[in-house]
Amino acid sequence: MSPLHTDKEYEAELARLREHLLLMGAHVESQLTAALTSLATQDTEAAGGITGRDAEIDRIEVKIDEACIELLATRQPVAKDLRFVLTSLKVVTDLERIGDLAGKVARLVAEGISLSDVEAQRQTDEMGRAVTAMLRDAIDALVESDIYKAEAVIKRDDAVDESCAALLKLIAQGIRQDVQRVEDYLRLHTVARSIERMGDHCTNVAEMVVFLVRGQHVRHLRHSVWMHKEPEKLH
Amino acid sequence: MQMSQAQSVDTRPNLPEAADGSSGTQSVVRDVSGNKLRTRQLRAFFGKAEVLRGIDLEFPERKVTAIIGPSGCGKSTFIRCLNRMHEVVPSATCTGEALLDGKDIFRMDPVRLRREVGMVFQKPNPFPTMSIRDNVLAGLRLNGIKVADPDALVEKSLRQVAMWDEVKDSLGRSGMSLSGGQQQRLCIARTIAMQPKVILMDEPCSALDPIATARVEELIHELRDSYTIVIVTHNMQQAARVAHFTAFFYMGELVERGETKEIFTRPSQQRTEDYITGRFG
Repeated sequence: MSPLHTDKEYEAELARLREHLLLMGAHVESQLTAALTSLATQDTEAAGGITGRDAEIDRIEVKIDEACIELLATRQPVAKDLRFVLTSLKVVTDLERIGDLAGKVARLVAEGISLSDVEAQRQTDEMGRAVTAMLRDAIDALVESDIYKAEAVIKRDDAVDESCAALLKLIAQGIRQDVQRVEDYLRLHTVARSIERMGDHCTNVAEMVVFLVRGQHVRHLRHSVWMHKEPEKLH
Repeated sequence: MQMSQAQSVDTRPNLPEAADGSSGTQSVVRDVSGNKLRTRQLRAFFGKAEVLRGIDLEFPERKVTAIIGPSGCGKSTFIRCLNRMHEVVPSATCTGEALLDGKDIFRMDPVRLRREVGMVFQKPNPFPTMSIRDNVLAGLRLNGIKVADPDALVEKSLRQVAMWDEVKDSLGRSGMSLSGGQQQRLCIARTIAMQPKVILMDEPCSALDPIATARVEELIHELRDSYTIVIVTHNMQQAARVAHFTAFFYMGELVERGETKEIFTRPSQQRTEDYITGRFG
């Protein structure tokens, strides 16, 4: 653990930024969990209550943006402090998008979505659980600067993509079998796509953790190029 | 005061200088790596106190290298060794090697060396009794160098420091009548007039306001195409803005040297990281 800043106020400003990130992560995770629960239970009333929660997440996002701009302008951070501020600026966009997508799922549930297809429901639940775990671990990795946890999150996105592809096949099959329920299936299609996109945003957050720790951009690299490598330790 | 053999802990003989400024008997090892200047195991002392502990550092030609580090880390002493100003201080000595174009500077005539390795100081120091014009020519005159066309040299030097348009109608005014920023640029013009190979700058902007600082930094950008520049600075943002390479000194040791963008985004040494992020001491 590196020593604290000589300037205690600077240290406090960075600590506040970290707290805001944690708070935003917690709100987004809570929004996602609530949306997926309402989906699994078909609880249209609960789903209706979720859609209004975006405002708090948006408020924290703006606060984080402002804190980052102020730090850049007044502290001119360098090295890991600079990487932390840049990471914060980038991940808030992903977290905010996850919150929006969770709100979108909740709105579809509120409008009424019937998951009478047992296998489709199972696949949806499975994807939802996987993405919720990815989000939790991505936020933990960010807060703890844990590169191994971040790598694990990135690897899990492949399984989510596969689940999504399987679910889309089921949806196409369902439409062919029962054209009367095309609207339900289209809503389910949107849900599947939304959850899959949330996984992508979790991956983005985890990739920024790699940048935060190593200073390495891995966003467009194949996993084999950079994964399973010991993080370079400062001497 | 010149370094005497008695003061020096360097036991090398004071060899006679050849016409080209190099030692007559010394074999000159040409540096083919693109470095204008390099030091090997450079140590500096004040009396018995060792203030530089064996510095190996390279300065690529026509590049800017910044030296950063906390007060007392030896960065100013280091650059003062590079034009043999360090040994002017009583009891100050140095050992090791410093090669300018492959030639050992400690075997060169110090006066001649200082023509090739010019220095710009923290506080602008134009000669107070001299005009702007005479200040530009002062280094040459003090060295007894005759210039075929002094007016052309004055204009060229002042143009290089972007001052010509500001002072061309008042070259006879005292150098002290200029603002602090202009005085510093005049001192740089005085250094450039000697056509040095290397320009050493010891915190050249620490006494200047932000606008004057920006002008000097802009000047460094212009000069780096023609000169090898070494700048000591306490202002890390300045190092980040002007230097191709940055070296971090701590307690007389070189901790890390690398490309500036690497040093300020992902340094390899924990001590560098702690210093530049303000987590030191």
